[in-house]
Amino acid sequence: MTRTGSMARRRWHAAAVAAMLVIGAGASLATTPPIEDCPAPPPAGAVGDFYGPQDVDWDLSRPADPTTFVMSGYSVTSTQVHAPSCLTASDPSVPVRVGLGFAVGTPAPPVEALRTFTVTDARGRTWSPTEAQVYGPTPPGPDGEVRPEYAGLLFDLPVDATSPVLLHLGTLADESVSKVSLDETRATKARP
Amino acid sequence: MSDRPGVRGDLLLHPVALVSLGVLLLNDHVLKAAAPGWVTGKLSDLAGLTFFPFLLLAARHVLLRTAPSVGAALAGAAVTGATFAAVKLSTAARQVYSDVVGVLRFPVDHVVLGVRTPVDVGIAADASDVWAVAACVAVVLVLRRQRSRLRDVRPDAVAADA
Repeated sequence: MTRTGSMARRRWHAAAVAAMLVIGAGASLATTPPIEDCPAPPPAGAVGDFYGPQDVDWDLSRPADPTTFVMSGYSVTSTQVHAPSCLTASDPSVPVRVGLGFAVGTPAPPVEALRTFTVTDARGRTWSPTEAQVYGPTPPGPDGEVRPEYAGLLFDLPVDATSPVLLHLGTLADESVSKVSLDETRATKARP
Repeated sequence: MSDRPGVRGDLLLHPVALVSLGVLLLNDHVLKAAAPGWVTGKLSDLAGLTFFPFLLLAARHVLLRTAPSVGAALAGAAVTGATFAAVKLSTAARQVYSDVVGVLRFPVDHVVLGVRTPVDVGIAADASDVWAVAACVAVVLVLRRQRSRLRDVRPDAVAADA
């Protein structure tokens, strides 16, 4: 190969490497799709601060505070709050689910007791659950693991629900705990 | 360590790197949309984990003028594999990775998608994906093979490189 040909070949190689670096870096970053933006983010204040920012399509899912507690002898091992994202000011209501997981081997409270739970917000408004269900423990799987009992509550809250939003434990309230906060805590402020 | 003959970063022109990048692009931008599912999800992991150590070593070669070695390939593969495993297994690692990638891709996202602030990337927390880190070994095998060939042709060059 002539000297000119060799130099041209090196230039071609250098250009190909540069292109591969750029394309490769781009492909590595773009391989995971971003969370999509909400189609019509509401102006600030249009949606209650309880629901957090509504700029990206990522459903709310966070622990309540406290998430672990004992109420009238029922041992709750986790309390989670779930709500959809991309809310708008014109939404008639927001389905907010509260899930209570109970310790393995201990029963969940009766549905009648769960129906006495209520949610309140900073404006003094109160809502009762539109659904309350208890899911029994699953039988042991191949690994011998038993899923504990679980209770699910559904509240239809207004889109302007204002913090602090509290879950009151109704007839299961006792001296140690009578309500838990459903608000975003500092520890869960970052997006999942 | 001296540079081997050739162009800095030309490890990226190795067929394994070219094929894995091609598969990654085709899979992420065509196949995933056409046939979303388990296969395209795993294919993306495999192709990305094969390609990324090549990218790391080539970038190091270009920026630091340090030719790829088997030791560096092992380190690149280990860093890539450990990062991937951490992101798949740890919520905290996933959050950090999501934030960092969101910031890195923000300029392009801003221009292409019009987003106003860095947007987190969504990452599936699936521990069963971790087996794909085995693909990181490809770069080590390629470099070992290159060194073996070079040893046959130019024993002096390999001795100097070591």
